[in-house]
Amino acid sequence: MSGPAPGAPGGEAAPTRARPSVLATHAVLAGIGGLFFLGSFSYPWTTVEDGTVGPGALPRVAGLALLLIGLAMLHRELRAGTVLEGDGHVEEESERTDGERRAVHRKLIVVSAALVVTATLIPFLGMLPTLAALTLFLTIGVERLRWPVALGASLGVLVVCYLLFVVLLRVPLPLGVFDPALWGAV
Amino acid sequence: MIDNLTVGFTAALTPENLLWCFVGVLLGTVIGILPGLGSATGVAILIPVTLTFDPLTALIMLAGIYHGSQFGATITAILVATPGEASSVVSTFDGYRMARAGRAGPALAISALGSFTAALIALVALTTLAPVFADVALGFGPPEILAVMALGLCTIMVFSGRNLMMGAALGLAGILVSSVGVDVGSGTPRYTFDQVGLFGGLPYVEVMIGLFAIGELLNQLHRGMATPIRARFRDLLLTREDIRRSIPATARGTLVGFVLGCLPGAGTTLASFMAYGAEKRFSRNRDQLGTGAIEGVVAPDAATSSGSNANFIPTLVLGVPGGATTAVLLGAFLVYGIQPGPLLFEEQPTLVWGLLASFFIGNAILLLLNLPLAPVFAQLLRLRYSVLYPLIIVTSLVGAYSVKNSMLSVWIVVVFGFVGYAMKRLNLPVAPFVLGLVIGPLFETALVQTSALGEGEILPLLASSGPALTILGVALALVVGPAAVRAVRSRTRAHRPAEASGGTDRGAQAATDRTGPEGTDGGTGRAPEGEEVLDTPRRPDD
Repeated sequence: MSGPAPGAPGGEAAPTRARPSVLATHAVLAGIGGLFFLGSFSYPWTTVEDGTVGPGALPRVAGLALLLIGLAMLHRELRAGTVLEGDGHVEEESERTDGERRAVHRKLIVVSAALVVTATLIPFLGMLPTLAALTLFLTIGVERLRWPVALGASLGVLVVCYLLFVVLLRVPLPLGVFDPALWGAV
Repeated sequence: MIDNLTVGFTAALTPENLLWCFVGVLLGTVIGILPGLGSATGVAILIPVTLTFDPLTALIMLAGIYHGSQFGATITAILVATPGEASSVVSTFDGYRMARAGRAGPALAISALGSFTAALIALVALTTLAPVFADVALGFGPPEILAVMALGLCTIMVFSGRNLMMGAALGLAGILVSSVGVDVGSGTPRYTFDQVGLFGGLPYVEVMIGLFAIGELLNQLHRGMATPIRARFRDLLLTREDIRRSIPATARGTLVGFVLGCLPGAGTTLASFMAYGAEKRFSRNRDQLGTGAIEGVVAPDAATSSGSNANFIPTLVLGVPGGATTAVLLGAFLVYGIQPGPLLFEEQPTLVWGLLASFFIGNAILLLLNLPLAPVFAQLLRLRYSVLYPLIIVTSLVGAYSVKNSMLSVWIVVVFGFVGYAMKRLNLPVAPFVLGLVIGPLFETALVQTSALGEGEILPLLASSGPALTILGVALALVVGPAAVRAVRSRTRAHRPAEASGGTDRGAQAATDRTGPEGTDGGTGRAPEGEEVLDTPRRPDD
């Protein structure tokens, strides 16, 4: 986490080199503002009927404001590299070895990818089977837990979610290939 | 007020409501204890579970989760220096040191007692003041509501830390994201790319599940977990000295928490930090703060408890959330078809007073649970995160899907999960974004209505309304005030060394400083101690 540099008055530090993560954060924010600002020109500033505030007004003003603030923060970072609380600075993980850092990054990538794959597979395999498979994959493939623990967790997820969401709350969860209507048609 | 409370207690004391209040408080405490699940996350995940409930029962349970998780988060903050909530970060300063010194019991016990006392005082004030505020707010038209929304946006910006520009930027980003969907005034679809699923806008609940649950989960995977400590029942005994020292600290914390909790958008994190700052300035034992002083535990926890109750004043009276969790709760109100605002007290007295009465009951249950069971709850920390996080993912995805029975909800959770993780890694405050997201549509509605009322003109209407001008003045003072105070202080400091070098007598100088402007510390030239606390890096999720 970033914070004010020791001894720096008012939460500001002596000028330092501009930090890439901070620059990227500010650029993304400015970019979002710019995109919404430009997009707002597709909508009228006022309504034709009564001249009241139209659909383009708020995104245009807020987008422009975000663009300007983003550019101002970029300028500040490039000029002074001021260390401020919550400015997008990522602290170095000095307490971890390279190996540990790589393992953490690998796990994060695998879990993130698993989330995307799960969301993609749900319409095809159904919600509960996909989530049970995800639990099994994460507990065995990623966390290397013992098979009985992993199987217990996956089955538990399946049963508890079925009872809670399907039986109790009657949520029509996607069934995918397990949909009886599909098999009935076949 | 007595009549109203009678109505409320009659509604809240049904066996069903009592049961769900108990379940909510218990679940909330567990949610607060479990790593990665804060009150906002817990409430967001469990909204779908309550969809089939009566609205009052559902809100009682969700409010129970809110209050319970505040205390649960303190347990982890004290025992393992892992705050479950942003507002519990301060509890790690002295609470964790007390635990390491073998005084985990008194730290947990005083936290429970201080929170309970603060909650009761805040609730009496809440039940007294909320109807008064509602009466005042009933006279509000679109211009005044617009001014209140502007105040909410300013508080988001100001209270997101010293980095005002980042707070403003994230608040604006939230407003822009909230503009996706059909425009409230003309019904024009904006930024929807012809996707019908986006016509209703990006749904709050799914966005919040993504930001808080999945985002925090990925962040926890990145950070790893601390080693837990055991807290035994026999260690829960407080000494008379502990209680004596805690009373004034609790009073100060309660006052600070209540005042800040009443402000829309301020949240409880600020309250806890400010309460710690107040202790550093006013406590008799201020020199011990940071080394395991009991005042450092009880004051922020009292402020959090008091603030979390006071947060319901702007939420219920104005429909503007007090913090991140009340923003999620506001979403829950809307899911049940209830529009919070001044009319709520007139149109739904049983619901409002039943909910407020349930806070009393919930806090009593919380104390009864927490005092003897805190060590038991702490055992949950032994549950391995490797088993826990797949369950969090599953609950989040199924819960999000069940809100609208749409796969779009699942994708929103995944995408905003990555956004939330990035924000946590980059130490960006999530609260301004969330509050911008919630206040955005309310702000635009007020803007359109004011514009319609003034036949296209907004400023003359605002200028002709006394309350609107007053509220806008407060908003301006919030933004400009701190900078002005800092400028005056730095000028005072700049003058002081010059006076000292001009041969001023040291004793006379100290005497002058003691009667000098507020914020000086007796002439030592150091920064006021309250400010040091605010400079401490904060967790960004409240």
